[in-house]
Amino acid sequence: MLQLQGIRKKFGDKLVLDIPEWRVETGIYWIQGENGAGKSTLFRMLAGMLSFDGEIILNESLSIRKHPVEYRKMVTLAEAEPLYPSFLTPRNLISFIAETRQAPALQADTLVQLMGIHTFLDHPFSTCSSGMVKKVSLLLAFLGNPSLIILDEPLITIDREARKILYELIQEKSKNGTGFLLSSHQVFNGQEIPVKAAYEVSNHTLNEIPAEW
Amino acid sequence: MLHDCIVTEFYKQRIGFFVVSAAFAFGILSGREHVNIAQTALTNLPFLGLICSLWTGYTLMVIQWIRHHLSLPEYRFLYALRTIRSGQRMRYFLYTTLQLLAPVLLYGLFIVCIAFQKNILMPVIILVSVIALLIMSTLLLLEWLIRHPAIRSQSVRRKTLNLKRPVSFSYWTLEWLLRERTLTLLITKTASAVLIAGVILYYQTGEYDLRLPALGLTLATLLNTGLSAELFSWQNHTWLWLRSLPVSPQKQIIRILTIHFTILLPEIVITWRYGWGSLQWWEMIQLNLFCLTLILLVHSLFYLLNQTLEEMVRLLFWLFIGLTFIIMYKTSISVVAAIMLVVAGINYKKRSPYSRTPPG
Repeated sequence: MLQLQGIRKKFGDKLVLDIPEWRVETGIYWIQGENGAGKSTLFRMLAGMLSFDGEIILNESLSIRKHPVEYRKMVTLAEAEPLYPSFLTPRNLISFIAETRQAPALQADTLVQLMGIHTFLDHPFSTCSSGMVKKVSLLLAFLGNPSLIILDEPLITIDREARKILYELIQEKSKNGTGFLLSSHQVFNGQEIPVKAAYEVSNHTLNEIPAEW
Repeated sequence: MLHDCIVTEFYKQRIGFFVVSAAFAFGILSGREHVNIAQTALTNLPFLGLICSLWTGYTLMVIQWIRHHLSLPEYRFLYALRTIRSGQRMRYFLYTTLQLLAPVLLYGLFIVCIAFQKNILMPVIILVSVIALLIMSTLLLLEWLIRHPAIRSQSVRRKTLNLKRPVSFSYWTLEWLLRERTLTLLITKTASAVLIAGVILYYQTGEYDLRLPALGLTLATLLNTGLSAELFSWQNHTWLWLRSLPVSPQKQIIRILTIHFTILLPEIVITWRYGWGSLQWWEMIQLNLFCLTLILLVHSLFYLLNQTLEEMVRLLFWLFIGLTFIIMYKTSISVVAAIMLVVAGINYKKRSPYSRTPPG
């Protein structure tokens, strides 16, 4: 599903990531790491938000460099602490992303109902709680038809009900062949999320770690 | 604290209103007309009533703004003022109210001065009473809001026009610029507009060729660099997440063109408004294209160099000097515009968000 080759990322002179080779097949993967280890940087690079040296290839053929638009159609990211323009409403943003990602008709409406976003759909983000904003960001990651969905700390700030729905969505999408990279400081329940393998970002690279779930 | 959190914020957020009002009061009306207004108010009771109604309208605007402002989560800490002594709190509130109602107080003072000068003292009592009433109502509202945070936050709901916002990134960018960078936008546009109008009016006073307005427009366009830097920052730092969206290069370029064209629209309108009659239509089109390609070149330099505005100032200075020489040597500005467009395109292709070496 995903292949990283010769990845190096520096901020100024500080080396953040140095991953010579990493390859995973379709499935759900848990990415761990201490604060500041580089998880979010890795996710942002995978989503095409940050520059880096090296190559990322999705589904054996889509290169982030050679096919920048097609690649971005296939990879979505929900950030750990999403920030959106305060004057926009969830409805504005969902319509925009659905259009950009060419999401199937009614997909957005279904997700809005499922995630319970309809109650604050027309409230500007400035008046939304952090949990509401987080729900919107998670919804946006499921829009379109991505091959890889990256969820950075998906469980923070959302309530138990939303968490249950998120687990169901992940399972459903995973059965249909969508891959997931999840980062969380909380331990996943194996029954709720069938994690294939876990990796830790440490010493600037990704290392497989034994299962804890 | 109240000065920073309420007074400064109020004037900052309402800067558009104050600029338009000031432009009307001091641009359209002359000093003599203000004296006439004051005299009429002092001798004609209905007219005085009209002025007092305008002041009441302004006070209502202030009150409405305070009610909304204190409901914002980031200003909830102000409710801690409830814990200080009433006398001290009222002093703070009075000071805040006087600053918020400063335009009313200053104009009222002006009318009072005219009243004393003309020895028409009776209306002064009405005037002072109205102003005192406005101050008192604002003061009491502040006190009430601090005492009733919960009731206020539940009952106050902003009434907004139910207008559907277009699903357009270019529109949102311009909306962001207007909402979040109001001061930069207003100062830039005012300075640029005054410069262009001045240069074109000067052009009409003698036998000059196109080089004069071209030089003026170069400087005026470069004044927009701050806005271009804000746009670069918005797309590449503030809302980095945009880069993860699948947007074709053509669409990206159209967005940049649309946004910069809209930003330069006031300059384009002024060029046509003042240049009509003295400049030929094709000359004005050349000047407009020159401005547009220059700002696109500047914008592409932000991508190419990934520098802040402060770091770019020296380069912009040399760009201005270079363009001055090129224009003075009678190079066709259409040719210069075409070259700038090509260079901007190359720069953007090299360092666009989806290129091999994007900024950041």
